Amino acid sequence: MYWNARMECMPKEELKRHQFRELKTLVYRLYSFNNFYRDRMKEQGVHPDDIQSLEDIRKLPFMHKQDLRDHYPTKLFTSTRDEVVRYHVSSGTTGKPTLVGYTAQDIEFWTDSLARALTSIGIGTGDVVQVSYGYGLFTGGLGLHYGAERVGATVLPASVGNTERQLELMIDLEVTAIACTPSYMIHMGEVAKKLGIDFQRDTKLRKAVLGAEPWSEGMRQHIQETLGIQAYDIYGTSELSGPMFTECEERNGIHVWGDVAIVEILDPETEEPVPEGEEGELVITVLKKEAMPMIRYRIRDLTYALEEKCECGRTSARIGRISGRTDDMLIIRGINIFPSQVEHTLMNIPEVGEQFMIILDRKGALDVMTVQTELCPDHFSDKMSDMMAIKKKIDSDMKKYLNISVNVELMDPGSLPRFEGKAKRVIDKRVF
Amino acid sequence: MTLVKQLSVMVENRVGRLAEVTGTIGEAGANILGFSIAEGENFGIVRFILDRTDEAYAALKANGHTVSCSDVIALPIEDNPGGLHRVAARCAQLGVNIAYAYAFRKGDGAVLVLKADDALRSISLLKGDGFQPLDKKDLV
Repeated sequence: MYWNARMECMPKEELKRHQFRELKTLVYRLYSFNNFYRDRMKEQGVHPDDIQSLEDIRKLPFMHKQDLRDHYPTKLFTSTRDEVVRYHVSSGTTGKPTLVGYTAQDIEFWTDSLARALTSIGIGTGDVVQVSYGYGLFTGGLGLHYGAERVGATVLPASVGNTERQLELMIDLEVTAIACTPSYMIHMGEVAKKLGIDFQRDTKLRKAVLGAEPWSEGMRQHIQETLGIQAYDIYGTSELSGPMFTECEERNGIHVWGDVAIVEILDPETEEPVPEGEEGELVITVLKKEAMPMIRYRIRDLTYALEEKCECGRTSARIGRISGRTDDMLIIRGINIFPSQVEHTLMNIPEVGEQFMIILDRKGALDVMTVQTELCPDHFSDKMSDMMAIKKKIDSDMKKYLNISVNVELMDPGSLPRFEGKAKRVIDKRVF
Repeated sequence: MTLVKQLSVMVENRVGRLAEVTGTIGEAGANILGFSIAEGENFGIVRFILDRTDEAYAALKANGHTVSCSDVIALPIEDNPGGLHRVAARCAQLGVNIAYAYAFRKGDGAVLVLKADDALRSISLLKGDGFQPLDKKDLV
């Protein structure tokens, strides 16, 4: 079943012509109305008239996350405040967040993209969808909420946390599908087991739409086997609007709707396309976006693309599971964290030095982040209560600036590794 | 003032770390008269009363340890039932707040090491109450 059979199954050549027309319109519009992008194009020596084919997209300048930060909050917007109906915010590297704005039409595009995606998974009228992504500044909760309502499902806006109650509601309301992070899914499974709940016997849950953090095929197998459900990968970032694209029932790549976005996979060094099927850096141009257009946005995720028509009949390009990143961004419990944020936080605490290590691990299903930092020798006290007060201060500053709870370990001055050249401050022990 | 010097050393909670500290103290020719370990989450604080405090301090510093020197009160207590209680009860009556304390045996009796919030005030209160704090000579 398709949500929009014409667009989803449009023959490849026709789809490419459609993409070219949309791209051309977008570039003209941006050149006319967006100072930032016009300046970028001029710097690169490219004019909208130079875009003569879909391949000419490669003449266009890139956009980076830094551009969003540099133009915080709304300087990249091409819509007026009156036209913007919503903001979402994601955390930034040095306390500076990334803001995304949406017109009513942007919310519509986003919702429609997810309606197609959920339909391709077989979720629709008759389903009860538990949305266990965070509601609020994060895009996951509201995005899935709108998408699931659009396809006619009944939505349970559970958000995150209070797992026992979530399980109770899942049983009582006969939830058939859930959207959450893969680690939260595993956590729910573990809590259920403790409570003597058997997903197969006691719930009607059959499908899980999982994403917002890296996960692996192994994790998918584990979730499917232990819970007896089918798990589907979902992809997006706030800059693209939020979670936008999922696998279909074939589960052979994530469908990126051709009329919504153009996918490029580039060698991160040479910035040239890699051969189809080979891994490279994902660069996305969103064709349908009003308030904050994204052209050739370098998401920094590594994946590969599949161009041939899917078994399900859909013709859009598909991308594989995200295998890593080209920068040092960490995703912890669905939250983006850069080591520079940790450094920045520590630099403002006089009781500790500038050396630190980040250790990531899993406790049960949940990510645990430990920050080791060296005590500044002048602040060493023979009283444990003084030392614990320092630790507490670091705990609360970390929580304030990173938005997640961190285990802080005060270390002996001089005990952390020193690096010559590129520092390797992150030890990731998580198994995806 | 009859205060005693105590060395405190930060030790990470890992195998062998305490031995590095005690090794350094031993090599410096300092004898440990009494000590205690306070445990934090991933580290501890080891506190020592030593005969050759200055030498041990220099050696620990030179070996890269985080060490501090502070003043503590050493009180003789009787090594029999109620010995500690007599001191604790008096401290309570005098309003002397104890941050931490530990004890070790000495001859027929024992020595109670006290870290009080305000060392000078506390020691004069205790002296006024008839206690006779020990100094380093008494301990060695």
